[in-house]
Amino acid sequence: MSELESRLLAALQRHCGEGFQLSACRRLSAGASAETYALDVDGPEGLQALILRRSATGQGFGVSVDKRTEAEVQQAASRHGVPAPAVAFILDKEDELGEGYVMRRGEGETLPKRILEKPGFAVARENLTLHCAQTLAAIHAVPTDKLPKLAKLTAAPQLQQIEAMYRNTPLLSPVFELALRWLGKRLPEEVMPCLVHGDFRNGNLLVDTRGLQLVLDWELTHLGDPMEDLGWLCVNAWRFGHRDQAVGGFGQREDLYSAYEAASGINVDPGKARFWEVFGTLKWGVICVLQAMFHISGAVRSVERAAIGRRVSEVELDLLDLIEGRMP
Amino acid sequence: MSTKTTQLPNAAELLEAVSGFMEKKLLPAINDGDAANQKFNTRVAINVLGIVQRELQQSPDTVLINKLADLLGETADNMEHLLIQLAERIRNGDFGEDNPALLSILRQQTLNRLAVDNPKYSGYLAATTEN
Repeated sequence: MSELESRLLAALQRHCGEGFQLSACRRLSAGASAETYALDVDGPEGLQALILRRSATGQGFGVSVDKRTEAEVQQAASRHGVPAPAVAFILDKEDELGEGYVMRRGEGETLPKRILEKPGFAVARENLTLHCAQTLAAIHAVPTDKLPKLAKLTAAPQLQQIEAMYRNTPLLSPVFELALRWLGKRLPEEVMPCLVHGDFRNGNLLVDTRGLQLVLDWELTHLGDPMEDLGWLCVNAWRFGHRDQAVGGFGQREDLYSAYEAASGINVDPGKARFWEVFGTLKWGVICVLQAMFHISGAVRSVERAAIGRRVSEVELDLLDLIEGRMP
Repeated sequence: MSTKTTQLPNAAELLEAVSGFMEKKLLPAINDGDAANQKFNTRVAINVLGIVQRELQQSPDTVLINKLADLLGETADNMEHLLIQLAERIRNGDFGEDNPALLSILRQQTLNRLAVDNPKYSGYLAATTEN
């Protein structure tokens, strides 16, 4: 048994009871700011499929919440009808496993290309736009007084944040400059802030053959404008080559908006949603630049991160298409 | 006999040799279940060599350089220099999205870069096949 496994077993028994055993533990992924492990746990009620999600040492995007907050938001959302993985327990100091938490493991697929192209997901693709609309409506309706303390990030501070991150790199992009001006002139008016997932997109959706099962990766959650989530879901980078299907590569904006309006009672102003889609596209572009800078600065040497820097031209074309009304 | 050269192989041919080795010899030798993701990283590396190859083969777009110099009222013929000026002038509000010449220049410049960075990109394919 590895050191991680013996500590995990001790944590499991401390939080859940002596009767639990760890029967399997395998590493799933090493994301930029979190690492995940699939755990099989044997307990009084039989075998349970769980996930350990804990902070990674590497650098993420820089605006993530800590793992305790992430777990508490996920738990609150799950209690209010959002399909978010229920949290089993949150790690504490005594566990000596760093920051993290253990949650239920769902069955399904998260790889966007498979979801968008495998024949077995045809029914899921039919249902996904509606499921996303209903899930977003449920997230935005979680009572904010049931949440841990979260940053309030509406459009203006987020635009400032993205601009500062971009200005802090050596890159000068005429298209980014144009998009910053365009966005600055179209800041949506302040709304009553609600819970925003912050990274609701194809890739963070666990999908089975029937449709959406669970919404994952809550680390960018905050309080803000509900339209932010709708815009981000439509960013071209998350359509994975299926450019004509604006919603995650599987659906149309009008269908998302009408289903969201029906489920939430919140009116969707397409102009505001478009602001957030342009903002999200620029944000993805700035993330690409920052990823490349991790490599260039020597902080994290990686051919993958270096290569992501050259995706900026994709984002620039998307921004021009959006600004000129040529984006499907 | 074809065109003579004093340097053999040239940079593009060297790159082709390396990416050919990586694709045909290295890639099949890496295990699928490798935890360190070396298969994925090798594919990324091959793709990066493709970007460099395409960049070496692309010649300067003199028509675009002239249009850009005209827009800025400059005589300089260095694309990088002109683009930096353009970025600063957009930031200052001298040009905006209501300027068709600006949009056309930005679009052409972006498409030229995508021809190098990722000619398979969905937006690039849509832009170059629509007309």
